[in-house]
Amino acid sequence: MVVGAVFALVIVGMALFAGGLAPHPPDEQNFDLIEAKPGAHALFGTDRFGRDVLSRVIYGARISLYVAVTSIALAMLVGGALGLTAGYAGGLWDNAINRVMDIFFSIPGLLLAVGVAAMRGPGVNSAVVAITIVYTPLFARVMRGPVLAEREKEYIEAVRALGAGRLVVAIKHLLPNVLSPFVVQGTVAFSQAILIEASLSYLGLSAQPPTPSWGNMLNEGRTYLETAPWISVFPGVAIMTAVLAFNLIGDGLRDILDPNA
Amino acid sequence: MVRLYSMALTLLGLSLLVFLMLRLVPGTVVEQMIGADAIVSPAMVAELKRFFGLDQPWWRQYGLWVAGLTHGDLGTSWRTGKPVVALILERLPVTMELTALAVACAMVLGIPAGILSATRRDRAIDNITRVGTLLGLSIPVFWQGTMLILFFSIYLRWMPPVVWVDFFTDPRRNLTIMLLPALCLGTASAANIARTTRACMLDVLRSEYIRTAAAKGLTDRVVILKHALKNALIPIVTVAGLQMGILLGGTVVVEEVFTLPGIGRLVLWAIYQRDYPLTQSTILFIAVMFMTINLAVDVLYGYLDPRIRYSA
Repeated sequence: MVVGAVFALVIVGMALFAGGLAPHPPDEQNFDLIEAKPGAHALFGTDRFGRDVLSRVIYGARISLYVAVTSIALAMLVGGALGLTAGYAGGLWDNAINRVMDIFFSIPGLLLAVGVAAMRGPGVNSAVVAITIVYTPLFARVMRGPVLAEREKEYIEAVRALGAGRLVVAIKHLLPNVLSPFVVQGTVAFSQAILIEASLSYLGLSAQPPTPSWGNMLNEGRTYLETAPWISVFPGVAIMTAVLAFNLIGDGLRDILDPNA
Repeated sequence: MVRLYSMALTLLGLSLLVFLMLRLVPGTVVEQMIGADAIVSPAMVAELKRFFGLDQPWWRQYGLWVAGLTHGDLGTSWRTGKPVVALILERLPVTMELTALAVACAMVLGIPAGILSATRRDRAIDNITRVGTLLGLSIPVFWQGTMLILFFSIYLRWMPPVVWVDFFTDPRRNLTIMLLPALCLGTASAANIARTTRACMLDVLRSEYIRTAAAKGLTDRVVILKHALKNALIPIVTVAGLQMGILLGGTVVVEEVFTLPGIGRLVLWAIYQRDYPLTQSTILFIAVMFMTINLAVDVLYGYLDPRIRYSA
């Protein structure tokens, strides 16, 4: 988990301070250094326009993290609210919410994301919407289960007997006691969101060139695989490192917060 | 029975959702066909819309499509003029084969790795396997694909054939084409299966009957493979089955990277072309496949372990 946290900090730092860290602006073209091998002039080499691959990888962290943070935050908010409502209100609410969530569970996640993004048209916001739609049902389910178990406990009955309203009981008393698996799931989903964003970018459905994203850099690099493989190698390493870092944090958090899982 | 009823209801909901989502997107097949710069009279546009039934109210279009579905008619593709069923059946074998091979790769790699990791807990091989599984879960499929192509083509001077051949025409050539995509698609699943195998084996190896088996003098090999693995297999098979459903989604990316003519690429193409009948029916078809796989896994789970038979 510590290793994961260190890597994650480096990646977040890259995204936040890209301007200061990157040796060149991401779209600066240098026609004297076209498809230059990694070396002293350009640590990760340059691409077909002479753009510095290292700088683009650093700036690419912004898109990945922005999409992952926004989509997972939205999915946790909406999914959490739906799961809490379904679990606590029960009855018709539970039934209706579950039925709708089942619809989203009926298609494989990645296909759902690709389908939604393709229908909306390429763009960063499409990726955010797509990933939010994929993860909302999951968070609803992760929230609902523990809420169902918790609402039957005596302390909830006691608070209700003291006259607390349903909303107060749900948010103030119930929610804090069911958050652990939810947060663990959030970290795991975050790493997967980075992976899905990269896939969408690779398919040309997220950030559009010349804005650098790890996925679209890989897509661009595909054509120059034989002459300039470094264009494809480094963004891939960046994606893998980011996903690995958040997976490690997720695993560590699970051991601490949710040891029974 | 309840499960089947619920599946039908979910499919009906999905059909409405996909139908409405497609129509909320700006641009129809008519605009796609005409192109942005073409000068076409409004009468011509109206005629084209009438031809595709787009002049009808949405509920009527939906009703006609669903009515067709209940008779097994998935409609006709607007861009190719072919029946959607024919297009799906043409590409189904590619996706099915890719998914099946990926699950096979995942099991062949994942189960032995998990067993090795569990039986040599906290030793070097266990640590290597655990790091390997984490990497396997983190590697993007398309990047792995690109790197494998790079490795094979540049360093080994070997390229898999580009033109796709089906299994029955030339099995050897077909498998040569499918090996790399299946390996890429199956990597994350292999990692998942290895993790599950390790956890289940550790659980089983702690139980008393394993101690008894070892105490009566059986070799490690017999204890592990015959006594422990047999009982640990139930959750492993379940995870492998569920992975099959997940992999079905992953095929859309792998088919794109390796340019395989499967269903995933068909959907993507249909969405880009605003080919409503083809998009709607293919997505619904994939959902049926996905739900059937998950249902089959549940039934198999109950069959393998009678303690957890599905009650509803």
